[in-house]
Amino acid sequence: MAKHSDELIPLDINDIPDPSVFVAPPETYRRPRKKGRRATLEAGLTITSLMDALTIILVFLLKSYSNSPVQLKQADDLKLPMSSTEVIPTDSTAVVITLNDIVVDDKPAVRLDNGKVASSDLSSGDLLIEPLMDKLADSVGVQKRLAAVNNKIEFKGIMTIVADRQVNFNLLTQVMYTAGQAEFSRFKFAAIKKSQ
Amino acid sequence: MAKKPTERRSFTEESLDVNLTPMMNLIAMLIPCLLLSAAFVEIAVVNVSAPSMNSAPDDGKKRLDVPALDLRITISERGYIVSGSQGPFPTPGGQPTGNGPTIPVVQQKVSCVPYVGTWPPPRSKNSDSPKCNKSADAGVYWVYDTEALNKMLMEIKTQYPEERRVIIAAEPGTEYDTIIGVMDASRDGRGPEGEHRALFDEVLLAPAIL
Repeated sequence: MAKHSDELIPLDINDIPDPSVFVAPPETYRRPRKKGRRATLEAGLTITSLMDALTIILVFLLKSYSNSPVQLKQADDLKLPMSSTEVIPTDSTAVVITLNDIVVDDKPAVRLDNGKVASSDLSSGDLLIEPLMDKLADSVGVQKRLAAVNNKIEFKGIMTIVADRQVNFNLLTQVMYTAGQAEFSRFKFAAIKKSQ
Repeated sequence: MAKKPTERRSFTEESLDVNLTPMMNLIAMLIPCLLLSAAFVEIAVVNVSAPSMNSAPDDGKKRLDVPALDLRITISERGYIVSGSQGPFPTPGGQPTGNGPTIPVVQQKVSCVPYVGTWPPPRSKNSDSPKCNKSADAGVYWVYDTEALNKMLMEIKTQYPEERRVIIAAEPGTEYDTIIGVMDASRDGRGPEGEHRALFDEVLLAPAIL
């Protein structure tokens, strides 16, 4: 028995093998390295998903594009009321009444104190706002001179009034009376269109 | 030019990517441009004629044919007073109004969203109640019954189908919001089957004489 097992099991079975056996075979077995391929892979940026996002933003912005002549930013002292009206604003002299001042064509005209015009600025039975009258007269003068030179332009006496929802009717009357004195006879009250 | 055998292998892989960089540049330019001209709130206007105290007459022709109805809505702190050439209209309930308003203000639960820091109109009547502080709040306040006004005006319109003019008069303290609300109620309405009905769209604004 002992002799038979000596034949099957080699004597050096428990010997530690030579470490050089596990080392990769020399040069001839290595896969050839592709030169230059890695460089092109790194340069290509995956911007397709970014493009998708930007395209969606683009479509959204195109949808909300407007060329409305009345452009305004809502602030704490200028919150417009909502209305169901469908009439589109036209290009005309714009008077903005906030809770703190009155602005004519983006130029401040009168400062308001607690929603009221200072009594020193009022005349003709507390109806005419003098500084506003000056500004409106300037605006009418420019429009009339333009109309005289260019016969395509006509002075129609239209005024767009943009007012905060808390502005009281007394102030509105004063502004409309002043505008009436400055030859404005048709008014357009701006409001935010209610989505239906 | 003919490619070297080693280059032929990588030829198809290179053409897979489309160069999107010029497209990106274009879009990056377009977005700020459109952002500048974008309007997130749509503005509309209500046409209003000058008040009657205005010295300049608005239209010579309209002065001649005096309206038979002469509809007038007066906004007071207590409610709407609807009157015609024959005097005030009876209330929707059928009672004569006497000195009171045709459509009185009603107490209703109101959402505070548009009125943060103040009271819903009519403010003078609500000033005893606490102010709206947060937009999430809702409180019981006196409010104008614009729906009842709209219904009443639709009935008046069926009696006077030709009439288009309405005079809206307001007390000095009336808020702009309320005036726009009355103009909305007097301009159009929905019939019983939801159909659109035009009411009185020629608005003349005037100070109230009470």
